[in-house]
Amino acid sequence: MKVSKYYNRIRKTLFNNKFILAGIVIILVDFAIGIVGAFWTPYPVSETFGISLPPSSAHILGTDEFGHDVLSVMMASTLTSLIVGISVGALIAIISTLIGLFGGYYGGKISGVIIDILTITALTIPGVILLVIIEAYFRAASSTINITLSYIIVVIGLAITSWAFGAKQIRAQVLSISKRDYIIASRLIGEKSWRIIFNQILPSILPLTVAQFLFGVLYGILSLITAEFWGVLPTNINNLGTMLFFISSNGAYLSNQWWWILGAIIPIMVLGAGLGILNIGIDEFIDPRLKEVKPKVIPEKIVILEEQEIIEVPMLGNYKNRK
Amino acid sequence: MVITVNFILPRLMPGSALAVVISLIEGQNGVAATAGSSAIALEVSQLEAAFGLTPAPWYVQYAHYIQGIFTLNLGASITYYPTPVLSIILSGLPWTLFLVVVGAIIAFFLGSYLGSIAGFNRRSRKDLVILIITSILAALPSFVILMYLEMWLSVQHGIFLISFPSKINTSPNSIMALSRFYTLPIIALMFTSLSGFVLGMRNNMLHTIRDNYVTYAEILGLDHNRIRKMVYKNSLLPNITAFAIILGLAISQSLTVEGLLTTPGVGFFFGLALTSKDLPLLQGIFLFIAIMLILSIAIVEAIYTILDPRARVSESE
Repeated sequence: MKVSKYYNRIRKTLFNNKFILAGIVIILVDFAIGIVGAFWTPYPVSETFGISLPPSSAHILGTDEFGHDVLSVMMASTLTSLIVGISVGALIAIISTLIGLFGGYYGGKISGVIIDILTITALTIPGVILLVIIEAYFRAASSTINITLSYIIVVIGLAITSWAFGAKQIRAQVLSISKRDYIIASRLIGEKSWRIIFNQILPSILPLTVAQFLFGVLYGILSLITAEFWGVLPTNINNLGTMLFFISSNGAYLSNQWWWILGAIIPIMVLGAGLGILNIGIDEFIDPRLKEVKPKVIPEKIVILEEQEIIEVPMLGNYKNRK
Repeated sequence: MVITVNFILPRLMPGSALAVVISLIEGQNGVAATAGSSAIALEVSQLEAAFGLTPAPWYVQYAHYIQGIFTLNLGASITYYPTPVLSIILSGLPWTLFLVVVGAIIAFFLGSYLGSIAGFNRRSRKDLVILIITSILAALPSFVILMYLEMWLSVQHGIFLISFPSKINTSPNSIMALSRFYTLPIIALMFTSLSGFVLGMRNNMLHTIRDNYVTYAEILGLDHNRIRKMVYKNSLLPNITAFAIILGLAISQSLTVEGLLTTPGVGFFFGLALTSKDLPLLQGIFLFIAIMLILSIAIVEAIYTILDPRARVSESE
């Protein structure tokens, strides 16, 4: 019963808001490329053809300097990068929201100070560094590391170094909300703090959480690429970062192999476009005043007693428009 | 606290820097060196003692490190031995700052301008085009944009230089070469940070545009461009924060761009220190990243209270 109510609301939002729908569709298409690429590619990834062939009908994105089909490599690399990005985004959103909520609600007390110190510390650690350290450990521990496990650790490492900006923003918002009258009223009736935090404050900061998620996704993908660029993560696994590592280490931009670079960035560009459109759609959640409300005309009957006689006056719901 | 973390982090890295250096030397000398590997191991431990790395217990190292910070003695780099870390960083910092500051200033004005147009014409075609293009640019790593720019304008047309000029002096020729070299990296960095400014401006503008004074201006019959400029000024604050944060993160920002072009900036040294596990250099760069971030956050807060009277009120609460 309750689920269907939520479902209806989500469906309504999606179809009223074409931008959100379009953004989600574009991102899903990107994922579809990745998922298809994980199981099927036009050519096997390791198969070699002529070296550095420009795009043709046989190889839509040409071949790279090792003779691999760029489109196939791209498809095989997309999913891992996207998953890393999405999970970093989700983790950042969750951590920054929770810390922002508690830090803001208990602000000024000792716990608030501790959270502040944590935030500033986390701000100053560049995420890429933590990646390198973690990775170095894994390489030292054993030569055959579990790839999934190392990705999970990469995600956690990126998330714990980059929640701080979001937490700062959310905390400021929570600070001002928790001084509003309705929160104080709830506190006075003895409402439990966790209920105030999650039922009353959380809904109004959700847009900020969504923004954190969107930026986190890009941040995750870009950080992975930066780390790969310097070759500090293993290059024997397929993701867009490793692709770019080979591109830069082979100087593809010096020899004019634009198709190879293009292959490595198409999935990111599609994702970026999707997120951009999503952002246009989401702005009305950030500021509810922007929501286009269709004026509803509710015929009302106002009963006026006048000299024992009943007169029925039809009236528009929005009385301001009734000039 | 921050300083402590900076101390701990590089030490968590397994594999000593000297081992990397030694392995490089071994690689050059071939098999001959492996014969005396026990002698090398002894040498390593002696050198490590000289650099203050392993043998001393952590609290001695820590005290040494704190003392180093206050006396501005950050030790010597291992890869560039015996150049002190501080002089390496200080020599690279102007290049990095120049690159990032110029890029950020252009991005600040261009991004805010585009953002104000997008926000003013919300959900129009202009808005859509601006937002999609800047989001795509933001999703791209800056060095990829740079690769395309270099490929097109340097390699094919030769308008801009691709490698850092070898001789730097104040003669007009040298300055010309420098500007020909730096134009493209600045543009690349500018493009990637554009989106933050556009979004910041746009989302803030959507708030302010509903304020009463805007309606008043509309009723007065001011033309739209004029109103847009009014709202622009009032929505600029969050972008100032973004600007300062970009400056604070300058070193991490320029990591890949400087790495690609091998510019002698801090970002480049940072990458080198990462790959060669140059502990003292890494530590020094961490320290600078932290200092720059904290400074820029402090400056932002100061600027905020000057520019926005409301922030002063909320501070006193």
